[in-house]
Amino acid sequence: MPVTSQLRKFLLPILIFLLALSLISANFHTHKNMSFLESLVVEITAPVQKVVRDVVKGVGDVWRGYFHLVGLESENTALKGELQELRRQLNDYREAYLANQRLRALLNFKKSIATPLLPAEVVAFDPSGWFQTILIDKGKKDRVVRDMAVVSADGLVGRVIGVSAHHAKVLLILDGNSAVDALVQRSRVRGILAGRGRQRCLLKYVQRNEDVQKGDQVISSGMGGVFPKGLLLGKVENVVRGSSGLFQTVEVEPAADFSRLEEVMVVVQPPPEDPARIGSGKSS
Amino acid sequence: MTIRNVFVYLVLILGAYLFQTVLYPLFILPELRIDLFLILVIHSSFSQGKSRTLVLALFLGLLMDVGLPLKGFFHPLIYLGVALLASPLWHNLNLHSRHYQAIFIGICAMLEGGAIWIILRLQGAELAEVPNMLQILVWRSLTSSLVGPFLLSALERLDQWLSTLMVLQESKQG
Repeated sequence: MPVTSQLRKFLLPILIFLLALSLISANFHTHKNMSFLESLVVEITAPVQKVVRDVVKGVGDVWRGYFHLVGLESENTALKGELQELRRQLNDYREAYLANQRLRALLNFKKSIATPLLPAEVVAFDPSGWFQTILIDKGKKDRVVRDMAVVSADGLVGRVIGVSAHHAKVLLILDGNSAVDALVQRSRVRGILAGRGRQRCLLKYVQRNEDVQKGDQVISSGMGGVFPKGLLLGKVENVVRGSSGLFQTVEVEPAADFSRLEEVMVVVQPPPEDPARIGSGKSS
Repeated sequence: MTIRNVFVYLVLILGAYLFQTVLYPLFILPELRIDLFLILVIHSSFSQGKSRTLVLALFLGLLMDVGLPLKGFFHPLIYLGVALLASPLWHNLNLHSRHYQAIFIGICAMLEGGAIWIILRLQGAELAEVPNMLQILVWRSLTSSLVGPFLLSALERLDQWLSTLMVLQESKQG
């Protein structure tokens, strides 16, 4: 075989590989909305996914309902005890809340404006299983834009990374690509909460001498402009201070239960414009 | 390929997509999830022509990337690679044997996971540092090896049934 034909044989795959690699690196996290193709696929498949999910959810509810009936009496007794305890706690919190209100008024603190929340339903999950993303049934038509925070009743869920007309793609805080500027609520120690997949996060860049203990609540710091300050992220599950190194390893269990994620809320507060983009005159 | 075959393939693709996006996260552990698109690409490499398989691989790859935090051409690259690898192997080696098919599917699943691991590693993602990613990768490859040949067999039977149906129809018309 002549040398030129051998070269030609290898040239095409190499060119395709290089092209694909450059497309991956060039396109990663750069688009504001989903592409036309992505939007088309999402708009076609999402309604079917929603129907299938509703059917599965319905069957699951009936199944769970049956099992819940078993042992209902003992559960009822336990819940009554729990209710008493919660009532006492509620009273304590009410007192603390009133004291807080009075102190705020005294110090002339500006009362924070309540952020509007948009309820949304989870339609689908990441098809590959390697990443941690969900698809929700609210999109551009509902004023959802990229980088809006998504929360559940328990805490922060993630942020919007792609939007089509009626749906949005959300990157969960569990994903390895997710990073949230966070604070340890008790000691105000700062770090970056990065996803590790499978119901675990890692609070990175916390210095070894900083005060972090097991059970500490971790909240969003509000830095970075994507997530509002004070959203509950999770609690510290494990702290490891090695014999060497600058930082300690802080494992965090997310507050939101991602295994039972059905309804979420989008924080409808437009994220601040990136100064770099404004400077360069780019609209995206 | 008749319109009926195209329709059946579209239904299969939609079914696989729904299975992976809706049912997998609810019922199946990450370790036991088989990439059904990968099985479809391999089946197409074995039964359809190279050009058709490449088109299918591209389409399935783009569809897979829709739900991911990556933008375009990541999974198409993987599926195109698998399609390009599977076609010559089918013609030159004894991939008709279920044992070899199991090994081949396992290797493909491992390559796919490995490619994702490399991309995550390049991005500095935390997931890549977790040892259980390797565990998931091994389990997935094993599950794919065990279940994949049965899925391929089912798809072959479907193809046979479609061809029989076509022959019957043609004979009736004749």
